[in-house]
Amino acid sequence: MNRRQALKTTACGFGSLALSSLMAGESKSAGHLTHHLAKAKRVIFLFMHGGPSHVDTFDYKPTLQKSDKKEFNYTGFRFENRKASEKGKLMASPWKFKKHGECGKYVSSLFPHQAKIVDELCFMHGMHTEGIAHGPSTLFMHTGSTNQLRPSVGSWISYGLGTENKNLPSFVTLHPPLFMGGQRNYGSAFLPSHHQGSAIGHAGMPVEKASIKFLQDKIRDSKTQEEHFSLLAKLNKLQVEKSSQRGELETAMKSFELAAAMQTEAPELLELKNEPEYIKELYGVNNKETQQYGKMCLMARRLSEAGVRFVQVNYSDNQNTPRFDQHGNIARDHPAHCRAVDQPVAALIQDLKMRGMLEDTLVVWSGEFGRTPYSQGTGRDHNPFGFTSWMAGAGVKPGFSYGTTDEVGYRAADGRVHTRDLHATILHLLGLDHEKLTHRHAGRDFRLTDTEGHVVREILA
Amino acid sequence: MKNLKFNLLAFYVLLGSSLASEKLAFFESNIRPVLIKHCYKCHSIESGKHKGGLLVDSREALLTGGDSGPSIVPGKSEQSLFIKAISYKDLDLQMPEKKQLPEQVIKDFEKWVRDGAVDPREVKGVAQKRAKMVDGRKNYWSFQSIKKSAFTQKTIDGFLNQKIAAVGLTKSAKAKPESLLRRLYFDLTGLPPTPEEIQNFKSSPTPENYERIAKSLMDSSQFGEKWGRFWLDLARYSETAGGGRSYPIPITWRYRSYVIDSFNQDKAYDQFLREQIAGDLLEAKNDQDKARNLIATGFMAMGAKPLDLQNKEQLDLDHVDEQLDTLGKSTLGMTIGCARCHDHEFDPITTRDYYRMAAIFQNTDAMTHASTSNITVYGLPGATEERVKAAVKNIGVYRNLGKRITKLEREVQSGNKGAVKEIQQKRQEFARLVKADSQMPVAIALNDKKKFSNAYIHIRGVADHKGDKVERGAPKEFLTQVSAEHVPQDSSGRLQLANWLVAKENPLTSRVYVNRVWAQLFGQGLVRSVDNFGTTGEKPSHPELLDFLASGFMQNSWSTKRLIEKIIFSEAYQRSTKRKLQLEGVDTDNQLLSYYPKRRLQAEALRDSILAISGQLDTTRVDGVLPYDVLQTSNKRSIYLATLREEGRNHLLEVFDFPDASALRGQRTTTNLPSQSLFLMNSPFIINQSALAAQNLLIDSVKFSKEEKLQQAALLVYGRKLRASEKALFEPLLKTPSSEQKVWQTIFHAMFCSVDFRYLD
Repeated sequence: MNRRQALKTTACGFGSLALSSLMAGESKSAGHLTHHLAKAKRVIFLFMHGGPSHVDTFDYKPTLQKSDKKEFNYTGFRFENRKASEKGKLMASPWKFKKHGECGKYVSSLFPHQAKIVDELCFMHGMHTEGIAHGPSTLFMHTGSTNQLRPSVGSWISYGLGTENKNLPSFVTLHPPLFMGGQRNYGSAFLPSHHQGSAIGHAGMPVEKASIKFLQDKIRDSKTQEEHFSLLAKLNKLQVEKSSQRGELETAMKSFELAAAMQTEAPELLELKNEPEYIKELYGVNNKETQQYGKMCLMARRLSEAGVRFVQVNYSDNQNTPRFDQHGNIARDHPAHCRAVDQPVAALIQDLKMRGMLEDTLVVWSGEFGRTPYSQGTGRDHNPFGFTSWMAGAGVKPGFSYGTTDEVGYRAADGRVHTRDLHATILHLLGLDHEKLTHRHAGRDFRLTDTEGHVVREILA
Repeated sequence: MKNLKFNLLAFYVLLGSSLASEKLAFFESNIRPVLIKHCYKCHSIESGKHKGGLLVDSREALLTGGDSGPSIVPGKSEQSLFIKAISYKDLDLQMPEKKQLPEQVIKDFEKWVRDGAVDPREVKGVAQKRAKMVDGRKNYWSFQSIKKSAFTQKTIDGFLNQKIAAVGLTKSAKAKPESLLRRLYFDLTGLPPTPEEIQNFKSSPTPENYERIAKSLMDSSQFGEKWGRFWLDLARYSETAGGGRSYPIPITWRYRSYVIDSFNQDKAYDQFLREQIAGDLLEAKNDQDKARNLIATGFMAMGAKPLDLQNKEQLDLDHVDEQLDTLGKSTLGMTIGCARCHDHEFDPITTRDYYRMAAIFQNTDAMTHASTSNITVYGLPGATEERVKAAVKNIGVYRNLGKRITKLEREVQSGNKGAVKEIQQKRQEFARLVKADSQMPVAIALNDKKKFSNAYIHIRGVADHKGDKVERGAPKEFLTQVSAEHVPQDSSGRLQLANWLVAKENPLTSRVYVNRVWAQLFGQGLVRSVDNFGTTGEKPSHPELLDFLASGFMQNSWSTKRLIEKIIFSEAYQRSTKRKLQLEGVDTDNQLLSYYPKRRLQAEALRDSILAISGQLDTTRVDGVLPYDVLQTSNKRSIYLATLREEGRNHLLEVFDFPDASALRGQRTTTNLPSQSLFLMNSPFIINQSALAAQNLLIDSVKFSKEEKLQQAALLVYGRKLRASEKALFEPLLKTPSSEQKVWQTIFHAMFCSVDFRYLD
């Protein structure tokens, strides 16, 4: 579907009527107007599960490079040694760093494709977060809570801004992990349930096989399906007319119309084969190593283009040690994961730029945490105290780096950005004030950022 | 305070001297600008923020401090939290959050505090503001004692009719017999009446027959399966641990059976609560009683736990908070969790009361800690140690086996066909263990800790920030009409807390429960915010009726069945959904119940009735675990399907608003989403069940004419005959040359998708 078609269905598709009435009963507190002028209209969140190592990719630490095997003191954070003084050995990055782009950004040889687009990226090197283990930290990155049931970032955005295309869900998650919080990572918790993320596939499932659940009937032939739909539509109309309490029943009836609209529109949208060859080539769709994440990034672009507000693009699996989680053998295993995402991620930025979409689309790249500068033999441990995330596109400074970790990359030092600050900033760019975007539940107002969070003004363009 | 007065005095005495003016000048040039620039944004009356309860815009505010205590101790910079925070020495307390202040500035602050923290900024009444949290809210309706006699009316209808008449509305007529019967069946058993039962009642819809049918439904074992599910929503019942590294705990079904049995036996609600909070501490006649009481405490052990949280003290505190949150909302309708970090902003619950209760659960066993902690499993009485050990080991095996199977399934989906064989093998092993487990004498439950420890207030709910010591026990400042029993040294205090909850003087416990039962039968409560009876909740539409029901409930020995009877025998419950008269702007949301509110069937009722209509429903009880791989295909009642906290739940239940078992749900939401329509139109479940329903009809009604078959189908699906307009819609189909089976399948499928099937008239 092209943009003109999208606009058409947005303006007068019969589904639009249905959804606006679906939302009629909803809290007015958020409204669908922004609190201030929005720079971004939509977000693509590239989630790098397992914790990619910042000191081996984007956060160049000359001191660390010179301090291989040097003793390093830190405070234990694992269950067995919490608060105890621990000794470890620093591990210099096995990869070479070089300056790239006009901004002269140091990037390691692990990310050659992203190195070419550093002038579009805005790095936050002073990231820090909550939780130590994957489960709590993944939940925190997605919902702002390590343990409680809270709405996901995408649900808050859907709640605050509503949908751009009424025939599609406003929040889609591509191949989310089944564990580490699972569904809660894209759940709407206490927000109205149509704000929950619609999952397409799940981690471990090939992209080719993924779709929206029950989008199509694979059992009956299309003639039977048409007959059935026309029969049920008439039957519902009769029964609604006969009822004395119509409101909810009408909505129930209309949701069939919306479903039918989705059934015709969505399959085409999810179909990648009509994309031109050079685009597929750009995303690495034809290459074994990059094809999975490449297809997901391409799908993310198509969904964004069609008006989906928030797309989570998960690079994840269902292991206890997800994807980038190299406690051992980092030199052997990190490169494969980096290769799987590098070209697709860079391609997404280039593609969005070519289409002029980077101006009003915010792309966020992050793991749930980073990795320690000291080693666990041949790998690195989790590091929630300091890591790197980047944003690109609408409203953030391109070719810019903000904040630092200490000289070996262990703790965020200057320009510290907590995950809550990241959340506050994402909302800010969408025109939403994180302190005003609230929902009343169980007797009090809830926010994505709880009682904390600051907009990181230093990175705003 | 003494300190404060002395310092202020000293300050004013010194004000005249040159020393004082020097210090004042130092404050003005080196301190005030920094405070304004770096601190006021989050800690001043001007900004409207007092993060951490702290203001820094007056000297008094700094001396009073925030949640963590006084911020500045004049003369002693090393004892001043403020200095500690800005010097970034404590990992958990670093201010300003974004960036450390320059070294010189920190030195200036140290010097300023050492020199007595001279500060001319005026007091703005900080202390008074903080003190007045609790008083003034105690007069709220829900905290007042329940009225026990001298009611102005004698029946439910008396109360309701009075208000309906007062606003000039007209009551609707009695519902048609078939509508009423369908309503009654679904409300009492969660299943539809059969066509014969409908015909029988239609031929003689007398009050006596209605009463007789109602009583027999309440005596059927399906009653507990319907009403037990209502309680399981509150108990956030699940068969997996929840949290990041969730795993199967396939022994929670014992608690599910306990709940079903309790409703079937009409267990007194006060006893029901006592068993669930302190069953292990109750006297028991024999091992069987003892086992039941222990299993009951699964209620408090059921919560989702982030078992891989590495700060285990925090994990314990969070877990206790989850327990109190569930207990507070389910039984008292109170969001007591708010008081974890500060005195409740809206309700008269103090942080001290919160930690008194928290101390009870801190002294109750829940988990054995490891990097990924384990939920504690208890052997049932009578079990040999050996068997308990074996069971505990089995849980570990489940944990790994369950994980392995899910992983293999993914692999198969990803194209690795080689894993199919191993899955079969593992599934067999799993099934064997499940079967063995149904004999395994273990349960997740509560037990007092062997050693009791002191409990503290935790500032802002953070494990590492300890405040005053507290004694464990029921609240003392909240609901002062209920006296809190003394907690003996050698007990956690759970029994005393349970007794406090179910004391007849407690105005909330019975009110909250009768309101929940009312909401189950009318779609909304007399207090519509069923989980919130606090000042931010809604007020009752009929306060006197609520008290009438609550006091009657306690007089009737807390009997749920008697309470339900009282409600379903009322005129109001039996009214038609057709409104007689609509007055502009009057009772638009039908709180006065002049007509009966149309309600959508709950997810379980939808699924169970589809299976009943297709003739597939297997109503035998399950005491054990249904394997996860039959989640989409099982013919058992929905209450017995595995309830997971992760993805992979039954599709129908999931799309039709089955609650997330990570938190309690007092009232299900009713959404109308395209995902539901897609499910009804396209899912293999509905398509297959429509085919089976068609098959069933063709066999059962083989002697019927086409027209009679059509009416039979309508009786099965809608509990009523078709209207002429509906019949006209189906008739052309009956004349098509397609196979009979295919025609009837299309008809059933259309009926399953239609609103009258999903809604109770």
